[in-house]
Amino acid sequence: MKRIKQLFIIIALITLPAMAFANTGTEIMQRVQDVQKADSSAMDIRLGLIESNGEVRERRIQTLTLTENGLTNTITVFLSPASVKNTRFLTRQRNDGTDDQWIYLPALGRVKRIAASEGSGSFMGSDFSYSDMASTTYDTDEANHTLIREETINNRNAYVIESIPFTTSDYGKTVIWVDKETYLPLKVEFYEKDETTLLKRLITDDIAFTDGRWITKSITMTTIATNHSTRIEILQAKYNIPMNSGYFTTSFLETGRVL
Amino acid sequence: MKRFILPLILLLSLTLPLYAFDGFTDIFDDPVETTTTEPVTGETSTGFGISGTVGFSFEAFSDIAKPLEAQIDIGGGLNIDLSWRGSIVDASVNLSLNPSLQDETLEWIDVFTGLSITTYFEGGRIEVGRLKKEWGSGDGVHVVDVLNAPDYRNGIVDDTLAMKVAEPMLLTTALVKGTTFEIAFKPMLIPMLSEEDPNGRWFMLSDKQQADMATMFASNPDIDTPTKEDLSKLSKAQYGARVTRTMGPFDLGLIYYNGYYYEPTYDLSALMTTANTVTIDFTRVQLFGAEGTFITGPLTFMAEGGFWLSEDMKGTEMGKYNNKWVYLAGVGLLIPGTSTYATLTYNGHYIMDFDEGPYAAMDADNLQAAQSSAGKRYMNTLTAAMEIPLARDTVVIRLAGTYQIETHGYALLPSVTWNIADDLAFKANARIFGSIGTGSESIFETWKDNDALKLGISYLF
Repeated sequence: MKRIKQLFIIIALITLPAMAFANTGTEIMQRVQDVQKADSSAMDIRLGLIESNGEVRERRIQTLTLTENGLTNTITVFLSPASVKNTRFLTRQRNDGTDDQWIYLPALGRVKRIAASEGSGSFMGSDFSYSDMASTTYDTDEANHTLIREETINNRNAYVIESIPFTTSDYGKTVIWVDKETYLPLKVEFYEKDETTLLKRLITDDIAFTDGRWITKSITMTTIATNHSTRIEILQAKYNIPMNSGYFTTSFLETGRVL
Repeated sequence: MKRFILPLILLLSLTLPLYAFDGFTDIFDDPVETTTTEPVTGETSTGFGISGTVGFSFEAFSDIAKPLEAQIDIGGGLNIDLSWRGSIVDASVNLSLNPSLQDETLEWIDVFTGLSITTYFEGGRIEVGRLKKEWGSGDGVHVVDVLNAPDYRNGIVDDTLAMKVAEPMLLTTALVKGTTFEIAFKPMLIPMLSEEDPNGRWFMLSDKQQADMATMFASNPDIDTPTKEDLSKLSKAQYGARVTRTMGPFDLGLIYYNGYYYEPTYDLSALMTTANTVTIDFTRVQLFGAEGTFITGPLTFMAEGGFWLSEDMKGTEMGKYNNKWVYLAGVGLLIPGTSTYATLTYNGHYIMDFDEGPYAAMDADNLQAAQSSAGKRYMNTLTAAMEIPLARDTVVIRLAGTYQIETHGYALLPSVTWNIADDLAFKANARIFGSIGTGSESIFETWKDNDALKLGISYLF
């Protein structure tokens, strides 16, 4: 009996630090989720597609998100350039967690149901995939998060978390530098499915404290292989505002009006 | 008419403030850093909008074996979309000025390519004007898309809307508890548009059909063609309804339509009884149709089907088209890891009470044969398309083609678009027609000398 007890203690001593790190990693990522959580949000966004030679092409979009009864709906409106102006994109979350998606293309003048976007597909020709646009980090129930070290980045203290998704889809691994003060990601590295080849790097250029919360104001994603990058600037961000659910309908998608 | 239109466009473009849908203006202020907890109401800004393209293109037509014989058509021109957005009313007009029409009589239908006034009520809207609408779940190919007559004056192109005639109609749309109801009313009959000159490039009768027609019309009868006034009578009014609903991964719809086949008919029996006159007419029909889309992962499955019930229910009248079944099945695939989308569609029809012949010149089935393919009761077509965006959407390659199974005719419509800048695009596209084997009665075999390469550049504003 004594031997068994000793064995338990030894096992506990060996495993506890690892478990503590693992738990801490998960807890940190839970904080990351919590600080970004909102029942509704509205964002006015400028995308800059930056060629390796420095040439920049700009796009402007606005996106609204509303979570009701635990289900999140998002509508995105493309404002420029002229070639995509007034294109609208609606995502409605189903009870089973999957999404229904519709697109309105002004040139066709009709709403079309489309297959749920392949997560790794490029969003508007940018370095962000559709999955990246939804979130650049994995939720606590999507990946195993481990705190691997702490370090200073851009004069800010950060936790460095390694996230390995339970189901490998777009990436095999991400490494996130989480700001200790704000719990916003300061930097994210996205790795191929082999977990060693760096695919993309996200850098937070600017954060700001507005309306009682820290928000990311500007981020830049770079594709390592091509040195092409995309900068996202949040021109305006509004959280937890009362929002008409009529925006998240195919009727709004087609007419641009809440009926 | 051009004298009137050009100053109007210039006047509008110079004097109107530019608006259109400028995003969620009730939520966002000027692009400065702000936060708020004000409610989002759904109110929208009002004002005028103007957008469009100006471009230039040339299209070289030639039998692919004789490139130096190519004939050049000039195209492009100015396309302007003017819109007004009011508090409860939207209005828009689409204008097109195309240099290829310079030597021909300008038709209003080619200049005013669309016009609509829409008013909104709680849960719905009423739209009236010269509209183009698309019914059905297919990817650009439909068998229940009934609201607009087809326009074949420019052959076939890889643009569904460009091949529709904008028709006068009133369309009411209402959303009730997740179900969308549409009711359409068209006050007059607009027939399909096609090349009228037998020597014209896009004349739609095959050599055999022309020979048959020559035999049938050997007595050189008078042709009594209905006038626009004849087709504008209330008796020619048409109406339809569509109900669609999303249920989980399914989009389902039902369609009813009471109107006319867009293809004209003729009754040769009149040659026996009257003073050598053949009357061109149209066949009244009802469509009972259904459509469905099923989405799973990157796959989209599409289906359409319907039964056209002719006023000649028994299929015995010489000057009327018969009943027919129509069907379509398609699948679309968003290729994983890319933005490439591919689609494959199979569609066709089956004509009821149609004796495949051989039949005499004065047989009622002669007319059915005009709606058929290779003299068969059925006609089936495979259509495939693939769109491949490259270099972050800077270059888009699109490959499209259709193959008629019975007649072995094919049409290939490849294109490459290079977005030089966000508002400037260069496009090269080809049209290739022909058939596999010999003796094909396909219209694409008839058009085999119309292979074309088109190069164009357009500026978007």
